[in-house]
Amino acid sequence: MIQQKSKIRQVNAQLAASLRILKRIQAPLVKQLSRTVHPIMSMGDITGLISLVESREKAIRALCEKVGPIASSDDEAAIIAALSSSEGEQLARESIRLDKAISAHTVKWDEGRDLARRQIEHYEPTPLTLRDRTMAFQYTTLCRHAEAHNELLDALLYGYYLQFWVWGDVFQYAGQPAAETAKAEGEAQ
Amino acid sequence: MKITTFRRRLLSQHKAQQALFASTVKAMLKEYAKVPEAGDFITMVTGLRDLLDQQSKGAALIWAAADLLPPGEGNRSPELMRPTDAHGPNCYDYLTAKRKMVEVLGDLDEWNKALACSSDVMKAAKPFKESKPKKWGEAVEMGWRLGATQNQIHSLARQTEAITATQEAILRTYGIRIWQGRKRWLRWEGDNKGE
Repeated sequence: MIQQKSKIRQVNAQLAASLRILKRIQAPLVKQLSRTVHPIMSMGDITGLISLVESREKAIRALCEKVGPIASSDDEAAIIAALSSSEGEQLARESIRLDKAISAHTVKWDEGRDLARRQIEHYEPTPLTLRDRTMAFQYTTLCRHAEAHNELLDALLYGYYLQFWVWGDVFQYAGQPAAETAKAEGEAQ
Repeated sequence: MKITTFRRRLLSQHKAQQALFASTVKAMLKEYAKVPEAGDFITMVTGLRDLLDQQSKGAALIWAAADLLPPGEGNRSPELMRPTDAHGPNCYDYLTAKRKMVEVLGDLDEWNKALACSSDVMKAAKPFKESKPKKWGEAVEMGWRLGATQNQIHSLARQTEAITATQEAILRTYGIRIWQGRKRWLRWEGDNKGE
């Protein structure tokens, strides 16, 4: 088994490669959409998904930075200090919110537009419809890679011993965004 | 953008995706090579890699054949039509590999469910934090390692699906629709039922 440090290095290398691929998938789709329209996708869909992934990476990296280099994995003081601060909690909640937003985005494509995607498959094979079909599958590729990247971000959290169940020990974590928790607390009072 | 330009871009993207997949697999196998309990896991990951390899080869053959046809007539590709008893892979092999891949991805998820117990193990070990620090330390070590690996496997599964989607996208640039191939494939499955 490899050490914690090399595990983090390994995950970071995978994250960098994965981000390069995401950009590479995004480029031709954006280029195409800037010239023509597509029956079921818009430019906002693509840039939206990419920015969600990038924001989550930013939040998670900031959180990891707050913990700093960990001498041993059971050094809880650093983790608790990082998560107890209001900034730490905000970052943790932000990462959960973005995680859910990414899932919602890909589910909307996979399930919400399933019928429309099937219809595109049945058009006559003209160069235009070939392009539409290709773009639809390319969007699916983008969704799967966004999910793959998201999973690697979770692996990074584990590398810093920032698992979700630890968050529950430190602050009231029921999975809902901070605003909802505050609202629920206000109602309880 | 011309459809052929789009295809060229997709092909190079497909190559980059494969490289990322291969490096992830390599890193994970290296990590588990010396762990005897990880035998099943190694078999699964190498199985996934071999299947993807087979699937990609099948897809590449169909693309090569479709290259000879005008756009939109890819479904007339001889690789799609070739009878199953002929030598060499054809569209059925591509589809069979793809179907097996879905099964393997399902197995990987099952394996991951077992791994999800890692956080339960850590929670259960927590009361012994003071009394048995060594035991607690081992549980924590195990927990984060399994957790990170679990996410890496999930990532690998999503990468596989992404590569499959890219292959589908490339097939579409030729006008090949697998649901037409699938009809033949299903019939072919029926033909082989008696064997």
